[in-house]
Amino acid sequence: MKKILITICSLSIFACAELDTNPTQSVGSAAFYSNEQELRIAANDLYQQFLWKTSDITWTDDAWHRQSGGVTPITDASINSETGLSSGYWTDLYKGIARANVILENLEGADVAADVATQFEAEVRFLRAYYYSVLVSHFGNVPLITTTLDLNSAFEVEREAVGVVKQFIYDELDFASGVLPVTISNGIKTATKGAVYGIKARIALYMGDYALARDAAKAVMDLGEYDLHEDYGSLFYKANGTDNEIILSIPRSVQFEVVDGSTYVRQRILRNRGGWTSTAPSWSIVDIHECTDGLTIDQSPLYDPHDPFANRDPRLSENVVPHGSQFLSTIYQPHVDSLQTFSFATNGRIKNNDSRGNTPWASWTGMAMKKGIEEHWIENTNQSENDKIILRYADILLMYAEAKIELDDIDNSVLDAINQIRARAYKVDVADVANYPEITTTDQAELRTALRRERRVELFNEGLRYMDLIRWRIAEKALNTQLPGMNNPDILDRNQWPFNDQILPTIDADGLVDHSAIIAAGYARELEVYTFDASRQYLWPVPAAERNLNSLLDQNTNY
Amino acid sequence: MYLKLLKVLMFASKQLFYVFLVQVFAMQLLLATTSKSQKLEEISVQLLVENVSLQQVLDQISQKTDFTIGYETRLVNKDKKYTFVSKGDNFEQLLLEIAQKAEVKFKRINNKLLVSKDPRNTTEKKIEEVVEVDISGQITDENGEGLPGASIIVKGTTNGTTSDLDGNYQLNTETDAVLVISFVGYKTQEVTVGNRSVLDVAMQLDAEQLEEIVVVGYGTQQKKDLTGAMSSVKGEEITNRQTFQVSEALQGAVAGVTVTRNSSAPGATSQIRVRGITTFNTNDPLVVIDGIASDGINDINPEDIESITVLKDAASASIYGSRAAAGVIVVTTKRGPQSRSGQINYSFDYGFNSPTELPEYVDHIRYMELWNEHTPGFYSDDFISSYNSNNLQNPDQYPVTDWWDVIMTESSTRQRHNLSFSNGNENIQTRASFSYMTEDAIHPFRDYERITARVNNNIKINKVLSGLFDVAYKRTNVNTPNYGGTVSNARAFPGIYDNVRDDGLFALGKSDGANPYASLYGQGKDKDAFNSITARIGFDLKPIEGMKISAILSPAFDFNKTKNFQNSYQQFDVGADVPTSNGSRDKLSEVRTEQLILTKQFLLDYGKSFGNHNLSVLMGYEDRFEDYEYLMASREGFDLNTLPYLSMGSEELRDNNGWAYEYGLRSYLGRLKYDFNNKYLLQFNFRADGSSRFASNNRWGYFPSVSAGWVLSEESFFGENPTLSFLKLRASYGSVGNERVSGSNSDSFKWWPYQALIDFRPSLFYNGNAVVSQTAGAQQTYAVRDIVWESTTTLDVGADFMFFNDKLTSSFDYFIKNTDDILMVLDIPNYMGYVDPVTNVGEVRVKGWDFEANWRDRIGEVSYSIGFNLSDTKSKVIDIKDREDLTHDGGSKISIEGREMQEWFGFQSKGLFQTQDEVDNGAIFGNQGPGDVQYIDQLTVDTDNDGIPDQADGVINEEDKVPLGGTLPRYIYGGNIGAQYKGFDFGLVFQGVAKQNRRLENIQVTPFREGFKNVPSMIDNNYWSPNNTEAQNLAAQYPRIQLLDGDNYQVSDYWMISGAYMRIKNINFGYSIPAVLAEKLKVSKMRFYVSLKDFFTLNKYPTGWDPEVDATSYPITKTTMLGVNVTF
Repeated sequence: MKKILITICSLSIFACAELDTNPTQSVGSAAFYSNEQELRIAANDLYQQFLWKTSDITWTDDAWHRQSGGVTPITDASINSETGLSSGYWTDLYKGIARANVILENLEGADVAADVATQFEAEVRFLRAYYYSVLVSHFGNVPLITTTLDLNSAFEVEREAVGVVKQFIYDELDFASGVLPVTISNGIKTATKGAVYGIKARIALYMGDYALARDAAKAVMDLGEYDLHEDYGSLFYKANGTDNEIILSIPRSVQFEVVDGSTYVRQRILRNRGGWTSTAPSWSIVDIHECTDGLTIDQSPLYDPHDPFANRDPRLSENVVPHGSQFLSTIYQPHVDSLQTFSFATNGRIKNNDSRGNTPWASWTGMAMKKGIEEHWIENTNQSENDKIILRYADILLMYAEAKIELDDIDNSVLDAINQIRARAYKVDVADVANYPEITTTDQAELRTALRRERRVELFNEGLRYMDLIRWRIAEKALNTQLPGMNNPDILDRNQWPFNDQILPTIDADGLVDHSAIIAAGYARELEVYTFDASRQYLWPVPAAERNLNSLLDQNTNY
Repeated sequence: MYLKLLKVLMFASKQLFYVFLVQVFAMQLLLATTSKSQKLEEISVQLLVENVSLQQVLDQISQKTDFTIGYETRLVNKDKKYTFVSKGDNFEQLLLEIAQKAEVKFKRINNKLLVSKDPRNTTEKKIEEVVEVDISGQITDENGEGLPGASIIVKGTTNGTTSDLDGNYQLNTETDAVLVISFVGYKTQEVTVGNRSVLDVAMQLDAEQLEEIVVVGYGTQQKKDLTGAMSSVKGEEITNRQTFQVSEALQGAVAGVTVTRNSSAPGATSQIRVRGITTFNTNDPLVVIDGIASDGINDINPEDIESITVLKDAASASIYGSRAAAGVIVVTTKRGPQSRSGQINYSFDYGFNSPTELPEYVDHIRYMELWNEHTPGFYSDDFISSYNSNNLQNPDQYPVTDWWDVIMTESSTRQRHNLSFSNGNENIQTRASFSYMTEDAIHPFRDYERITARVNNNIKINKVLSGLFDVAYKRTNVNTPNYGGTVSNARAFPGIYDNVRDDGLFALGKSDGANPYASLYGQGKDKDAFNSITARIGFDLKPIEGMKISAILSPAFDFNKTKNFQNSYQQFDVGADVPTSNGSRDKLSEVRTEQLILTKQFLLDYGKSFGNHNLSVLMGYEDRFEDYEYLMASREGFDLNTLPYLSMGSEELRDNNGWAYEYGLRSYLGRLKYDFNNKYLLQFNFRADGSSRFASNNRWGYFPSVSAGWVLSEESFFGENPTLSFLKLRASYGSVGNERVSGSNSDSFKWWPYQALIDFRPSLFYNGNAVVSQTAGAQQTYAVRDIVWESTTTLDVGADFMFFNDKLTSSFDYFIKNTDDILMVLDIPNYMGYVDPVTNVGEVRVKGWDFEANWRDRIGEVSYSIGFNLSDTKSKVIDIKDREDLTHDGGSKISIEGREMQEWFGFQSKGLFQTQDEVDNGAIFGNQGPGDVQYIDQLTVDTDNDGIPDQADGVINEEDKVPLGGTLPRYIYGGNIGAQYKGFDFGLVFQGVAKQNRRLENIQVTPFREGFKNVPSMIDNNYWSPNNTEAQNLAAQYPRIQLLDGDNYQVSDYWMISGAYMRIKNINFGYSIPAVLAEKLKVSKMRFYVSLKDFFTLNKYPTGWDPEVDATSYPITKTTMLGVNVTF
């Protein structure tokens, strides 16, 4: 019968329905990774945005986010093994690792020339080492997976000691730096030697291997490929995406729809331009910027709490919007009685939504973010295409200085590295010491303090502060604190705007600012109390779901 | 527009009606005269004609006798001349002579002579004589009452009529004719006319309702022979629900079928579940329309439906094999009549919809007072008390806006037109229908419009061969505002924000520019259109008695377009002359999709009886191929936002995308049915399916089933039992499958779940100083190649009863369904680097029962019927490899082994913290304080290492979450009551759920959601507050008011309420005009009706919330309808 039916069916004008259909919009994995083009496509995938982790500014004392009470799992010490934050990092980075492993496993069988294969190998091993560097710095011991796991072997995996993982990373990076080119002048810009050294310097610093860090940073400096952009403020603009200071970045583009989306943007931009200013710079970051005499505000005679942006390190006015200044085509004036302000976009006076006199939602710290924010964020329907900078030369210089300071190997090159950055902030030459506050001390402790302030100011909002707090072991101080904000309009003392002139904040040797006395005296409102559990939070927890599946995985202490 | 359409329709139907009348009139002409019969040879006629034409001969005869003579003019050859001489003796002789010479023949009908050509010109001419009589009479029902609408047809002809409202009829026919009288629900009778002129017929109720024919998989069966569990619904029941969508009409109509809806938005459809949920994948039943699987249950005009059968157990569904695990709904559309005079039916109704209930929110003054509850002094007393007077002075600075009022209207409208034609004879039967439905919304820019057309034809070519040809077309136009938050924000926006400034410009609204009114009016609208054309062409071959071979080819073609145009608009702050930027850009994105599905069927059906042994066999082959393509294109940056076409957008900001899939299914199926003396019934079903969704070595699935029935009431020992007149026991066992995999990680996955695919998307790089996009790709999902179908085995035992001479019919079924090899996501460690693969791991068991009963009787002149159904199912997770499935509803529902599927998952609670002391001594969640919900700290710490937790850990965290009971509705019931009295008819349909745990959603109970939204009135004066007395706080139902604090709104039993409800779905009241009047109006039937839909509901929900609606959807509406239905 069956035969007859098939005959009928095939005799009919339409043939029997085809059952061996294959995906119409994709390729099966078995047939992939076979030639240079396919390997390139696979390697390109390792540069996807989500694989490049930079920590969030709201996990630190640099900014505060208003929504949901402003608490993050890190700043309220609630991070646990089920927190999406840590499992997100874990999951994403292991995706990158698996994809890298597949490429490496297929290199041998692929139809590519040996030298091309070696280039691929170096690039992919570098990227995989980078993913591991983020994992090991956040989680401590992690499974070290270098081949594709099948369903059986997957459940026999254990966590590898930090020492083993970091050695693996160093070895991989050393291999890659031996192969990858110094620059790529033609074609698409993938990883270079400088990026490999820089990442090695960073992870070595995180791991406390200062000599390795110093050497790796020095290697970048010795390449001679990188220097500091002349203007600190504009360095972070889209237009300077390929500046010599940038060593490794992940490009974004509105045209190609890879952006920081509207939520991110509106959290940061002014309310007068359609934003929410809900992620606002903290008083602490404002206060840590030195005065132009190189002294901190609690020391300097130049500091005026009623005009806090005057006589300050020029980077303050690039990091945070100065009151009364023009920004995003309006005058930013958060004063409660400034009910109107001027708009250059419309050339007229507009209701000032950035004043809490008009709207209770205007920035609760009275401060607004500025670094890297451009007018076209608004024009691009609140999308930001500024690149995600992973590594830039200023960081190399600071890492070099820090490694040498920690090794107590202090020489002129240390001072020069820091001073280059300070001079650039003032847009003067490093030798022009009359026009910027040069660092001259060679005392290890003093230099350490100076460097920590320098990093905080220079690298503000670049996703590095959190790991600095962690590796310096000062998160328990920095994140067990009260966050101050502007008093509500009904009790705000207009004579003490924006900051009071009675009690100054105190600044310690780690570059941390304490406002508790100011809050206690009623000059500020307590926005939030940050808490940090030092007994466990220096490492993140292994995701609970992983441990449910594989009981061989142990957990970090106190999770 | 609507009026115009109505006119056109009316005009068209009038014209057709006239044409039709003319035809009917012409047919009747020949039968118009009557006379006493007199033998031909006894009639004397003197005729003397010479050299005249035949026409003149006949005219002469006509003049000289009482006979009317009928002939066709082409019969008469004018050139041919005849001479006849008759002296008045034998008229018959004369006629025979004429017949001989003129090569014609005569037929006498009463006083008429019909002349026709007779070229054979045999020597033995004869005059055919027929006596026709006028017959009249009354058709009565079992109680002697006139039965209107009964069909009376002269056997073997198309001559016939129907009885009028009093059951009377009139007919003209030959004396030896046999009349066939039939009426649905009554036994068909045949009566010979004989010499009678008055013929009354008393109809008898069809002794067995069970002789009803039920549509089953690939065929029909008599209801009494059924051995599987199935329920059917007549088309009439569907149309009585007055819904646009068939899915909604099934709500409460069938035992074991759960239909849920959550909104009455124009065009909204409902979710159908047959006997609970059996898998973590799709639980949508397979819908089969006229034998062809389809996704389009909501594409059919309800008026086109003849019947719907729901196949519930494996025995009845396994013939659909791999797609039948979630039940099968078999829809049959109406076809043309076999032998009836043609009919035109037109119906129209018009209705108004308004929300059943709406939640209330506090006004602007109370809003500010309550705001001060969490931030004391935020609004000064002065500010609040002078707000209203300030509003009069400066409404822009001190706005008072009732957002619901400014956005919504009181009611929306709907209307339907249906026009159908049907006609048929033995050889061709046709039915054509056309419908137009439209509905708008209670807010602007939203409406729904549907046009359907269907033509069904049956064509008999000869005794052996016949064919069918059906075509159906549907087009749906759906307009929606581009702004998606209309309903939820119109509800919950506080009154202190302004929608429109005094000068008519859009206000800023909330200070960040949120203004639902401006978004609704400014942001533009989306325009979607959905088309489908389906056709069915088939041949039936009946080579020998009892055998039928059919071949059917059915293409179905869907092509849809969506047009999504987001406009930018300008908002103006208080006093500002220039707009505030809202940062948006015009964006048009258009999508086109195209799908072609081709289904082929070859069936062989053979039935034969050997004495008391009845045997029938069905064998078949079917295959199906689907081909789908998706195309998207978009641009941004339009200079002119009145022109929603891609060419008007910026060339730089464009995007496009496309993808496709293919899918094939091949099947072999068979059925063997045997019964002995209608007493012992046995049936086997079988299907083998091969699907492109599985790898070739796992491709074929086999789905057998067996069922048996025992009609106890046929047994001699049962005897005649007036109370229990019929009893049948049934049992079935079998397996069905599910190959429809959802839980999809990507679109490809849905179609090739066994393959690992490279997912491509771009990565960005610098090339020189320019950002370029480069293709990047990776395998993302781990694939398990050897996955197979999910299979569900069902055991069903049931019984059918009839009581009190079949006035009460009832059936009951109990079943256990076990689904194995459930394709679900297998958790793999994330360090493997892949998205979890899907593999056959799960097992779920569903137990339940269905009950239905129908009563039909008459009291005096009132005939009435009552139907009721009740069912319950409970799904239990047997095995999901020790994992917790939290994928439903954002983790608020859990499936774990040994418990019900999709239970609520959260904290247990014990009221509100009343004092700081209680907080200090209790376990808290987050930053809780007095006035917050107190959660129970479960025992989670194992102090003595015996593996059983024996101590609480002092904090409330994820570990304290426990299953909080089922989420699915239980004890679902429905029913209907109908009554008729003379021209009046009444119908009522109800439906309900007797038990369900519903959770009050956060959006329903949270004050100041998102930090600013309005406070539900039900909270006001009913929340815990430090300003309250102790007694007030003890009585408070809601926790303290805080800003942006989710601690109290975690999933917990604090927010669980009973979701039970009972709803009167429809009340119909109709009146049909008396026959006399109908005759004057030249219509055969005209009925006016009023219908109330969703008017009354019993429930324990908080005021303002309909028990069916979900918290953010468009409201459930009630509808008042007026309509008319005319049959010509």
